[in-house]
Amino acid sequence: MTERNEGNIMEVRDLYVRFYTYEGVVKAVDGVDLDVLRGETLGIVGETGSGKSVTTYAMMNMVPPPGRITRGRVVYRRDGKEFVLTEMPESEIRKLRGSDISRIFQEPKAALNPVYKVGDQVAEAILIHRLDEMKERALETLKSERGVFPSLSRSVIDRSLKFEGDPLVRLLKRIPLLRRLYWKPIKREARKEVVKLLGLMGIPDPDRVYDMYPHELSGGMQQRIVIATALSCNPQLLIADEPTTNLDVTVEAQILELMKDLKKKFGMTLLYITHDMGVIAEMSDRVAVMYAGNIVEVGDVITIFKKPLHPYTKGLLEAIPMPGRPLKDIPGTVPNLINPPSGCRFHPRCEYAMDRCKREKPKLVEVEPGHWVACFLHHDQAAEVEEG
Amino acid sequence: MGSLATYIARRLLLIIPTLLGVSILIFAISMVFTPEQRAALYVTSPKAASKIYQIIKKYGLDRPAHEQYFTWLSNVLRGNLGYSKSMNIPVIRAFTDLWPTSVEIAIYAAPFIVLVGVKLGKISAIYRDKLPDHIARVLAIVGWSLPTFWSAIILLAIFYGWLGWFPPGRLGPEAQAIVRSSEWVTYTGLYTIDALLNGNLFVFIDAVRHLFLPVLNLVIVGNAGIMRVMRSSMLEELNKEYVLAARSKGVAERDIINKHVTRNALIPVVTMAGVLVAGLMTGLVITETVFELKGLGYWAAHAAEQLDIPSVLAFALFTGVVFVIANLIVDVLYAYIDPRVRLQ
Amino acid sequence: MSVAKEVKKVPLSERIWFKELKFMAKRVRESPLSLAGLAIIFFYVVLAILAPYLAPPKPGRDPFEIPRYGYVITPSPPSPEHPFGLTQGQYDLFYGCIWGTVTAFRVGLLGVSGSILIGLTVGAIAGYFGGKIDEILMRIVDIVYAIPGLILAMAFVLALGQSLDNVIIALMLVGWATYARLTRAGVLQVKQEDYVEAARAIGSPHRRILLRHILPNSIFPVFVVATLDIGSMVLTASALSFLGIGAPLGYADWGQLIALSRNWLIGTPENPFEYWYTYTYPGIFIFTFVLGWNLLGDAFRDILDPTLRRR
Repeated sequence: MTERNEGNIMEVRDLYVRFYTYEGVVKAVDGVDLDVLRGETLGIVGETGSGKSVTTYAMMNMVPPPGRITRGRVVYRRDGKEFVLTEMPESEIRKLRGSDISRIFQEPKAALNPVYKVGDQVAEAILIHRLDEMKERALETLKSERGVFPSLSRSVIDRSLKFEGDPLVRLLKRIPLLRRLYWKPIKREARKEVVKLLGLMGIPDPDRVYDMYPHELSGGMQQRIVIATALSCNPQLLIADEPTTNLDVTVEAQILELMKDLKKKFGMTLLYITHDMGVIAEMSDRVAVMYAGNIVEVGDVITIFKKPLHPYTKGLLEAIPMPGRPLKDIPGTVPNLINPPSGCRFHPRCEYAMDRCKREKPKLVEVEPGHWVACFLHHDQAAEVEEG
Repeated sequence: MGSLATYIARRLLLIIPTLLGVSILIFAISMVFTPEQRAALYVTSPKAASKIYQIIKKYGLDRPAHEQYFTWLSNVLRGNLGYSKSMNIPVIRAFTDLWPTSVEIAIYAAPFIVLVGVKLGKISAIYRDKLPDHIARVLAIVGWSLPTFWSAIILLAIFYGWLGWFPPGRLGPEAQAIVRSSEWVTYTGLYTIDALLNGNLFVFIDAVRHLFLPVLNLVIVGNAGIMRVMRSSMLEELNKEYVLAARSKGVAERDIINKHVTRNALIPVVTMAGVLVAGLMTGLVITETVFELKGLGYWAAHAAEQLDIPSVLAFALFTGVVFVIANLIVDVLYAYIDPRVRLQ
Repeated sequence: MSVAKEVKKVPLSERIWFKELKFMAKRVRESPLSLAGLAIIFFYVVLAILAPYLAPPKPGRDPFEIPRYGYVITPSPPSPEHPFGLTQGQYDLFYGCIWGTVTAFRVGLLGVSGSILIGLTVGAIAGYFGGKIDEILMRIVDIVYAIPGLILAMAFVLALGQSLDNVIIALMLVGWATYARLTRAGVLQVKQEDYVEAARAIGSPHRRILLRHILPNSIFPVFVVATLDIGSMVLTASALSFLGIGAPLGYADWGQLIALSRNWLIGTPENPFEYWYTYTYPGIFIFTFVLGWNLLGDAFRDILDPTLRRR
């Protein structure tokens, strides 16, 4: 795809991810190239197991074990700087996770730690990435307070701000009770911030909800908590991994509305993963279609819906139930990725499959500006574009 | 909090049938013996025991089983558990005399068993299938396979017979003299605690010296169960999605394990406390016997050897009650640790 | 009838127990620890088989009676005739250890199989019929669980009379509870399966459904636990013998040999380990025997833990 691009917030090049399981090596992502443009909403669509989730985990360099990135480059850009996530040390990547790039999960219930208050879970990210800011605010608040403890707290926090790794502060942080001098005012500020954020998420009575445990909240409320956590540090890129799949239809609509609204407010880039073409149409500016660990088609949402080129994309669109149209299924099943089909991975299910499709894997090529497809049926067109 | 109180009340009600069941089981075992043998269950002095036929008549030991059960149970509930011929005192006196020894060992052994087991299990899970995991697992299997009495004997042969560091018994002769003197105030009967309360460091050190080997022995053989549960529950928790969620927030790996995973992984370990108590009871019978610590376990072992039926049955009943109560405490603790339990 | 047959026809390689067996074999092959366990168990099997040749019993005497060479209390050190020495009362330690192997297998295998028999029956009935029966039987299981195994076994042996056979019976009476719980859980799971529903729909008798359809598919964890249990049964039995309420004096039993060594932990001032052989040999026998089973069992443990499987 296009080289050098200041407009890209994220570039994935030639990405391979393997899962080393008991049954064998699962080739979950097999040579993916993808650009995410700054400010857009990119939808990634595909069936379960197509590698869409794994690709985005790779974008944070946190593919869960037994998975591993075996090849490829992931680059994140901010303020003209380049962060190559696949080559950075873990401690550096950690500074980006949750602050620059954050994630919303499919199953809010599972993504929340059952034994901690939801508010504290949101605050955790703030206390990691916005600690100094919280300290400043704490100092501000403490100024107006009288007494021995506030002034002690103030001097401790002040010291910790002045130079990092102050031995006195480090010692204090290890002593029970005394460490509250340091943490209490900071956590109070974080709490204020979280309560504000929860309000922004449309959670009623956020101060009370802060002290609740995940199981006390409904699925929709839980997902709002997860979203609040992801947005707590003003991320540049938000990855939403099927955030509404497990919610009721009405709740889904609310959450989608909320996300569109928040995207505008926070001015971030959104990467939206789903298997639901309806949600894609509703949410995204551009669409990437994935099949069995490959990207088979990329284009803006109107092109993809009006003029799909890849047979799989066409199949997906025809599988959307619509009144007055017979439902059409894509024949066959999703391939086993331990032994994926040779050549084009879609060929066993493709009605246009040619001999060449079995032998060779089609490259993703640009058939018209901004519209890429990986199918031999359209490679001629691509050549014309290049000549033209 | 109201929900926690009702929860505790409900759990309290639930232990009644189990306690009744345990008492029926013990009673059923006693019914294997002849009425003459069972007479010892109802008397409190050797003099009374000589009038066997009067006792049989008085307590209806030739009557149908269910009638006898109620007579026996009301006796037990009034604290009359029979006469221990191995100790030459009433069974209830044996309990009141001997409990401090056993409790003193148990309160030092239990925390170490848990700490070692949890730590080993955690290491084992974090380094799954790597060297530390293998070492921790082998240690656990070895501890699990060691006969308690043999490890106790080996410890004694080395640390007492050879090195002379840690003698058997509860106190050395000098300390014993101090404890028996009139200045000594007995607060609890636990020598380590009483020594501190009396301000006597010598007795304290002597008591610790005598406690060291029995406690070590119980820790060696007792931590394997907890280690295993901790390991598998850690591995399970490490796979949960909230771990990914924490990682995606930028939480450091160490904090993920210590803050997020460990607390969740400990929940199943807490439910092991009942098993831990049962293991401690068994361990105490053997360990007290080998180290000549005259506690409840020592007494039970000697009673069994001398066919002292009332003592063995009373001890079995006692362990059953302790187990049930331990589980009750566990359930309450569980509700405290895991907020999800409270609402149900 | 034919419907049930139809439904049940599953190729050998697809049957649950066959798959499980294959998985177990794989676990053992992959784990050096469990291979070591297997080797130890094999060694003891050979030892038990060869016992009559390694330590020939005196003709006409019970082979489990350890021969004595005199009546002196003080143990005698190892010598060419008595490679492990003579313990308190001049009982031959080598003979006792070798024939103690046979005793250990007898205790372990009989204790476990008896426990399985009782536990399987109780668990299957509880799980299959459910309701009141289930409630009552599981309450009984809870009660047996409430008293620690060794202590309950002590009470049972006391009631039954002191002998090794009674120790084995006591072990069964204590050990069945685990299998009852396991079987019940397995039965409850399999009960929902289609082929059981089908068998019930065509009116197969309960006994047949249980024996033909449910048990074969739910019995697997029982066998896994059984391997883990043999070691602990031998440990409990030897503890009873050690406490003087197991095997009678002079019986070839490891626990008892250690009991005989209790007065000899402390040597003389010149040689603190003067009587080392009295407790070392029988102890090593018990420890390694149990270790063998536990090493083997450890590989299987993960099998029982569905969350740790197949990764």
